[in-house]
Amino acid sequence: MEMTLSQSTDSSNETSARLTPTLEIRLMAALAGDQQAYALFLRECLPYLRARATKLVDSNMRDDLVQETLIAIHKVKHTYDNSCPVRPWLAGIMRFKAKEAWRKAKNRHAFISLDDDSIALIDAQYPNANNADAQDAEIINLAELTAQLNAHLKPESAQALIATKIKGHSVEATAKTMGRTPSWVKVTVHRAIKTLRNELMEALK
Amino acid sequence: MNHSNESHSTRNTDTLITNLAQQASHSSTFNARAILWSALLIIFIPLLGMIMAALGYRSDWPMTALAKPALFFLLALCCVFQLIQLAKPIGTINSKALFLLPLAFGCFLLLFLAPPLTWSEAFEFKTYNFCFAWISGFGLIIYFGLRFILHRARPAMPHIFGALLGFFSATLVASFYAMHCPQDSALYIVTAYLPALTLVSIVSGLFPHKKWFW
Repeated sequence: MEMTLSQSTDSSNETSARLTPTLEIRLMAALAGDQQAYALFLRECLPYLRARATKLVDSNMRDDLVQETLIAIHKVKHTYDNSCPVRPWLAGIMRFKAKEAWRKAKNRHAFISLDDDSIALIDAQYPNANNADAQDAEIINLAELTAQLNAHLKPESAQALIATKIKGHSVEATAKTMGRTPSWVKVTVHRAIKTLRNELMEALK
Repeated sequence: MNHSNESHSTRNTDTLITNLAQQASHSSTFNARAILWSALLIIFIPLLGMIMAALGYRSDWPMTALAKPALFFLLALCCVFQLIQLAKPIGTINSKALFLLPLAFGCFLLLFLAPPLTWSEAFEFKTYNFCFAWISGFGLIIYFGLRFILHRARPAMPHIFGALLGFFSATLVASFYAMHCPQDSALYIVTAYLPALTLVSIVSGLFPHKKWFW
């Protein structure tokens, strides 16, 4: 048993010793334009990044952080110094992204994550919620939504908000439809969101 | 439910990796050390040397006249070492930079050997405005030049990196200008040179390169 354990430890050490140079070589190949090596590099980084992310953020945010880090790696890969090991470089990028995510969450004033019970409740209420067409038909009842928004906002503000944020129209298109300027639409939508947020905050107190 | 979320997220990560890999193309590595030293040795130091030669160097060279440019040169050197580190996403403190700081402080202490000035004399010295304008003006020009040259840097703290690059540009100008300026008093350094260095650092800290944000 002891022998088996020792052999297994040796083999794991060998694997980790082999892993880093492979990562470095793959990253250098990726910088030379090798797409296959780049994909392999990113995939081989994943277990390490996931392990690091678990230490930095909650489990429900872990995959978001890993994905943000992968995008950041793509943006800054040219700064990699091939005389240094890859892992501290990856860890530094992830730490930076974790701090950025924390700052963004802090700036949003409140970050409410849904617990399992809430998710189950939503699933029960909207069984087809993952289907985009069903989502359009069932969840977004525009008439009802407009009526609800009109209770809190001016009708024009509600109209601008629905057009840009629910229907997904551009600011320019909305401005044209409403006979207003794009700046007016931007300001109105911004104020409408602020009003709704304030009312929500008041209600949560 | 959790398992379903996890598999969905794994699928997203796989798609992301595939997309990122498709965008991979040949890109040269960014070597801040080589770029910064080349820019300094080939462009900025010869340029400043020529400009200062046209302006004229001072005629007398007591020990304090040597300590003044040495102070700014050592500060500039500190900044170079630190900038090389901070240009990367995992910027750390450079030990060489820390080693040079006491030497710069020593040069500053030597300036107390120069004939002392009062506060009003320091502010009313004939070249005060010229010193301030020269260092801040050329400091900003060099900052914007270096900002362009280092556009591929990806610092973790772009504003700090910008401020340090600005401080470096101003100390580089000051180290040359100090060979022209006849006033060596430590108080004059504090009243004329320090505000110029601070101004350049603040302005450059406020205007980092857009590409430094990643």
